[in-house]
Amino acid sequence: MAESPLNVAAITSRVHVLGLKWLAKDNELTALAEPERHIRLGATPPAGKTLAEREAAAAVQAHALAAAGYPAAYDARTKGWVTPVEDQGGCGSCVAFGTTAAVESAVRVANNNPNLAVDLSEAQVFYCYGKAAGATCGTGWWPDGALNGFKTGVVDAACFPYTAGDQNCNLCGNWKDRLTAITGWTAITNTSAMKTQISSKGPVSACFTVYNDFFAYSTGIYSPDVQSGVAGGHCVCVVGYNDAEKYWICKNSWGANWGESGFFCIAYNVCGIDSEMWGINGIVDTGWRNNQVIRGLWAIDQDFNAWAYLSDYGWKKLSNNSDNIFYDMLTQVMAAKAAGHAVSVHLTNGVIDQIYS
Amino acid sequence: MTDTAPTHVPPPAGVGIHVQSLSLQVLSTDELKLLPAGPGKQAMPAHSVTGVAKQAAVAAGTTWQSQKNIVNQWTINQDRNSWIGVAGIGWQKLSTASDSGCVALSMISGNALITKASVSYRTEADGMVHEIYVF
Repeated sequence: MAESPLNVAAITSRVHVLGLKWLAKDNELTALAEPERHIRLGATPPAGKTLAEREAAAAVQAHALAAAGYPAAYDARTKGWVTPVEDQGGCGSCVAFGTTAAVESAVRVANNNPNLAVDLSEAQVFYCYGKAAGATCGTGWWPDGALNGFKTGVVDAACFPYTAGDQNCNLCGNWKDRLTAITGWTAITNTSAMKTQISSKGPVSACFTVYNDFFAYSTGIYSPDVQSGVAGGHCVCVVGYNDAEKYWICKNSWGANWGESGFFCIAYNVCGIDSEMWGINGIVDTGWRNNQVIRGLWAIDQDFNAWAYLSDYGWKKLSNNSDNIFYDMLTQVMAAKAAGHAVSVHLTNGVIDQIYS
Repeated sequence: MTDTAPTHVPPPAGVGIHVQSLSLQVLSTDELKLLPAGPGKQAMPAHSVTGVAKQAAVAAGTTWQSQKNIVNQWTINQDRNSWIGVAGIGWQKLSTASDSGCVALSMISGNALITKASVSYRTEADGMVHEIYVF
C-alpha cells in the first residue's frame, strides 16, 4: 500500500475500521516520495536476529503491570530530562539521534539539572564513528556501535553541527577538550528492567519495525495496520511508559512538527519496540565545565575534603593531591565566589583539578 | 577515613540575610562556661559578637543552624584554635579534628564573613562546628 505521497485518507479509514487508538494526518513526511521517506529508516540489525524476528519476540514479551520497583507510569519530559526534538532529515541516521537523545538525557540526570544545556553531535556519532564502521545514510546502523562511540566520547553539536548527507568527519579544532563520554551501556531485554532504567537512570534507545502507516501518525497510541506494509527499521529514544494504558512514550527525530510535537506513543508488544532497549550506565564526569558560577562552598572536619557548588553541575570536590593544591584550589573558588566571577573548571572523574577564574 | 560529601543545595540566587557589623560586648562568666575548651584547655574568645545574642548553650547532640551569618572570627597562636562569631548565636569553635579540616572551615567562614553570605552549619555535643555550607 506504500504510495508516493501516502494516501492519508485511506490510512485514516483503515485505522477506523480496525478500531486502532490513534489518528492519522497529512504531514511533511507523508507528502514525500517513498524513497525520501524510507531513507529516514536507518535501523539495520546485525546478523543474528532480523527486524521480523525481533517483532515476533516483542509480541510475546511479558509486562509485569504495576509491578514493584518502578512507577506504573513515567514520563521523563515532566522531569525536564528530555532535550529538544531534532530532525535527521534525509539520511538513515536515526541510530545516531536515538542514542544521542538518550545520552543527553543521561547527562541531565547525572547532574540532577533539568535545565542543563546539553546538545551533543549526532554528526560525530554518525559521520565519524558510524562512517568508520561502514555506516552510510543509505545503509543505516545499529545502537551498539553508536554507544561504543559514546564510550570514547562525543563533542557538543556546535563542534560538528549535523546536516543530512554522507560527509567526512569534520570536528572542530579543540574537539578533544569538548568530549562527553559514557561509562558504559546495557542492552536490556526484560520489560521490567527497561522501565526501571527509564524511571531511574533516564531514557533509553530502542529500534522497531516501521509500517507505512506510521509516517502519518498524528496522536494517540500507535499500533500498526500490518497491511500497510513494512517500510524499514527505525531507532528512537524511549522517554516513558504507561502500564495502565500499555504504551511506551518515544522521542522521534523527524522534527517537532511530526506526531505529538515530535513524540509518539506506541502500544506494548507491537513492531518489536520492546524486544530490546539500550540504557546508559553513567556519564564520565571528566572535561571542561565553562562559565560556571560558584554558588556554594562546603567544608568538614576531615582532612582535605572541601567542595564547591557549580551553578550547572552541582557539588564538585576540590583536588587534594597535595596540601598546596587543596589550599590553592579552595582559595581560588572562594575568591571567585566573593567576586562573583564565572569560572571554567576542569573535572577529572568529578574532581576539580584546574580552575580559570 | 571515608570522605563525606555535601548533601544540601544552595537556595535560589538572592536568598539570604545580610547583617551589618555589630559591636562587641564582654561575655559573662556564666556564658564563658558554655564555650568548648578544646585540646589542652585552649584559649577562647572573651567577647560576644553581638549586643543582642548571648552565648548559646551547647546542644546535647547533632544540631544544625540554618540561614545564619558569620559576623566575626577569632584566632590565636595555638594549633587548631579558630572560632566563628555567629549573629544571634555567639561564638562557635571550629572542629579540632584535623589541620586541613580546621583551616578549610576557617577559610570558607572567612569567605562568608566577607561576602555576607548565609551559612548553615553542624555542631556536635562537643560544642564545636564540624561542617559548614556557605551559600
